[in-house]
Amino acid sequence: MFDFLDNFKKRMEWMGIANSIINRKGKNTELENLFEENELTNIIVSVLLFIMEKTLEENNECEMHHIEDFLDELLRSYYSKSFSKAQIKEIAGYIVKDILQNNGVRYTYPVVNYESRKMEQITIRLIADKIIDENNERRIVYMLTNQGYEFLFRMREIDEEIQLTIEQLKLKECIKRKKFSSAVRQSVELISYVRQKKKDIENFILSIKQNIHSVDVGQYESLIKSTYAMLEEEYETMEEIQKMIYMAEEKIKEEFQTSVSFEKNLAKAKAEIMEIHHNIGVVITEQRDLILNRHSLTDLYVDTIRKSFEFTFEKRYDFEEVVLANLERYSNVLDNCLGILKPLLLPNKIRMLSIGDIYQPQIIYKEEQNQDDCLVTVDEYDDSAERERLREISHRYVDTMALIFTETIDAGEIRLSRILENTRDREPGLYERITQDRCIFMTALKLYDIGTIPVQSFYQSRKRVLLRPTEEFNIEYCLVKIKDMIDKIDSVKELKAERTGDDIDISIDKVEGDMKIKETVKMTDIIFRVVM
Amino acid sequence: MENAEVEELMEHVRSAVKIFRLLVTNGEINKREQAFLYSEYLETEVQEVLSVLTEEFECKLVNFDDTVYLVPNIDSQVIGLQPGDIRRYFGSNATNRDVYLAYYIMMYIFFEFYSGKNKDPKRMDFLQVSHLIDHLDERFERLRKMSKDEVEHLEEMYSVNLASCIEIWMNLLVDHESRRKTKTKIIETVVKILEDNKLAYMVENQIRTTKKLDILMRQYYLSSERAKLINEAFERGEI
Repeated sequence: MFDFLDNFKKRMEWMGIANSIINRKGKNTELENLFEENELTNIIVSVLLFIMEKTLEENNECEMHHIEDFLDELLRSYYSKSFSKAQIKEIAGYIVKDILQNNGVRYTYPVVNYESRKMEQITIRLIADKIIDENNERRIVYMLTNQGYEFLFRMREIDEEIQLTIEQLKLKECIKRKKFSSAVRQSVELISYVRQKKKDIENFILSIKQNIHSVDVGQYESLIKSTYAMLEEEYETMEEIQKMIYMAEEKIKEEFQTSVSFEKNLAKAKAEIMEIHHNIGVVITEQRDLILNRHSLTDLYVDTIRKSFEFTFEKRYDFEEVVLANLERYSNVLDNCLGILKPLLLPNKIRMLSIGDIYQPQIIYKEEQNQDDCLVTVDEYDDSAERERLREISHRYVDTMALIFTETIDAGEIRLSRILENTRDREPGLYERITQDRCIFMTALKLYDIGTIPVQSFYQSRKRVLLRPTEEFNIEYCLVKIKDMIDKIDSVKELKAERTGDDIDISIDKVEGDMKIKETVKMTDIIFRVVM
Repeated sequence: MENAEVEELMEHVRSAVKIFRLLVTNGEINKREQAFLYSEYLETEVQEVLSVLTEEFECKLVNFDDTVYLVPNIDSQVIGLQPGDIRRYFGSNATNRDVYLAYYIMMYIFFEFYSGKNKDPKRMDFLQVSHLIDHLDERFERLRKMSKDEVEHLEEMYSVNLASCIEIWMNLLVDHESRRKTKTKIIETVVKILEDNKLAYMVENQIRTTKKLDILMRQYYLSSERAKLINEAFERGEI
C-alpha cells in the first residue's frame, strides 16, 4: 500500500544493530561508570573497526590480547584514561563477550514486515569467533560477520555492491592520468575489498559448519548470487585494468629510453607501476580463488541442509521441567539420576581384575567406597553425621587458633616449633587434637599466607560472620569464637606470621582401627608475633 | 548352509565386532578416520549383527553427519558410567552431596545451552564461567526461599537433601588461590568431566560445547520420546 515502506525490514536491521550497541543488554554498571555518557558507545564501534582492520590483513588473526592492546592505547591516547592491565582485560571482555556477542546468546530485534504483515525477529550478530586448536592449545579468534562488515561500510555511506566497481573506476582513471601514486593507493584499497569478500565467504562457511540452523536460505541465496555475479563481472574488468597497466609500463619503458632529463620522475613512476602490477595480481588471484570455491560452498550448504532436515525431530521435551525440576525434587536418587547422563558420556566398560589395575597407585580400600559403585543408600544422606564431622573440624581449628594466640600473647613472639613442644609436654590431649589431620600445620601455613591479621580492626568492625562450622579453615569464624576464650585478646592490634630460616621435622604416631601409622611433617618453621 | 555363505556371514560378524569394539573404546566412528569400517557399518547384514550386540550391551547406535555414536541406555549396567566414576574427580574426601551438586551443575550447563524454544534448541555459543556462577547463585537462592512448608513436605516424602547441596554451594567463595574447593574450581572439575567425555571444554574462561554434544542433543537426547524414560528413571528412586 505504501511504496515508501518497501524493504522496511532492511532499514530496521540497522536500527536493531544500533540498539544492540547503544542500549546494551545486561549493562555492567561498575564498568559503564568508568566512562562518560555515550563514551563507551564510541569505544565499542572503535573496537569493531579494529577487529575489521585486523581481520582484513592477510594471515592475521584478531585475538583478545590484540583487542586489549588496542583498547589500552586508544583509551590512553584519545580518552586520557589510564587503566590497569586487569581493568583493560575486564573492559575488553565486557565489550566483546557481553555486548558484541551478547554472552553467546542469539540477539534478536523485532521488526514489522509490511509485506507479510507480521512481526519478525531479526538476528543481530556483529562479530563471530572461531576456536583455533594448535599444539594442544586452544585460543579464540574474533572476526566480523557479514552483517558487521555491511554495517560498518554503510556507516560510511558506501554502497558495498558498487564499491568494488567504484574503486576499479578510480584506479582506471588514475592510470589514465598517469597518477601512479594515487593508483597505488587505489590498488591497495581494492585488495582490502576483495579480502573482505573472501572473509564474508569464510564466515559463511564457518556458520554453516558450526550451526546450519543459524543460516537461512535467503542469506545463502543473496550472498551467493550477489557475490559471484559481482565477482565474475569484476574479474573481467580487473583483467582489462591489468592490460592497461602493461601498456602504461611499455610506454614508460619507451620514455625512459628517449628522455634523460625526466629520469628521476620516470624511475619513481616505474616503481609505482610495478607495485600496482603486483597488487592487481593479488586481487585477480584472490577473485579467481573465490569464484572457484563457489561450487564447494554450494555443495557444503546443500549437503548440510539435507542432513539437518533428515534428522531433526520436531518435538522436544522441556529440559527445565523434565530434568532440572526433577533433580530439584528427587535429590536422594543419585544412582538413578546418573543414569540420565549415561547416554551422553563415553561408554565405560566395567573392568574386573584388569591387569592394568594392578599397576595403578594403590590405596586403602574403604568400606564406604565399596558402596559407591552400585548403590547409594538413604542412610548416607543422613545429615547428622556429616554435621558432627564438620563441627569437630571447626572446633579443632578454633582450638588451634586459641593456642597460637595464647602462646604468642604470653611470649610476644614465638615459633611454631616451640608451641608444639610446649603443648606436647603440657597437654598431650590437646597436642593430639591439633596435630590430627595436620591441623596446626595447615593453620600456620594459612596464617603465613595472610601475613598480618588485623585483629583489633576486625573486632571493631563488628562484621557479621557466617557462624556455621565448615570443613575449610575460616579465620573470621575462629576469631569470633576465640574472643571469649582469651582474656588479653582485646589488647592485640595485629598478629603477624613470618617464615624463619629453620625447618620443623616432626613425627606423629597415631592409631586408625588396628593400624599404627607414623606421619612425618617437614616444613619451614613459622614465627608468630603480636603487636599490642 | 554352504561354506561360502558361512564364510560371508562370518565376515559380517567380524566387521560388526570390530566396529563395536571401536565404539566401546572411542564412543564413535566416523567416515573420515575409519572409512572402511564406516562403509561396512552401512551394510544391512552388519547392522543386523550390531543390533544384537547393542541389545545385549544395553546401548544404541546413533548415526548422524557421517559419524556413528554409541549411546548407553539410561539403565545400562554393562557399559556406561557408574556413580563412582564421577566421584573420582572430586578426591577421596568427596561426599555424595559434592557429586550430586556437580551432577546438577552439569545438567544446568546443558539447560543453559540447549533450552532454546526455536527450531534449534542450542541458544548460545558459549557460556562464561562468571555468568554460570551468577545464574546458579540466583537459582539456588530462589530454591532456598521455597516456603518452609513445601520443603518440609518434600523432605518427608523423599528424604530430600537438596537444601544441604545448596548450602555447600552458597558457602563457597567464587575463587581463591589456596582453597581447594571454590565455585570456580567445582565448575572447572565439572567441565573436565565433560571434556574427558568429548562433550565440552573450557577456553579463556568460557565453556564451549563440542560438535558431538550438539549433535546428540539436537538429534537424540532432547527428543520428546525420551521424556518418559527420564521421568521413569527419577520415579524409580522414589522412596
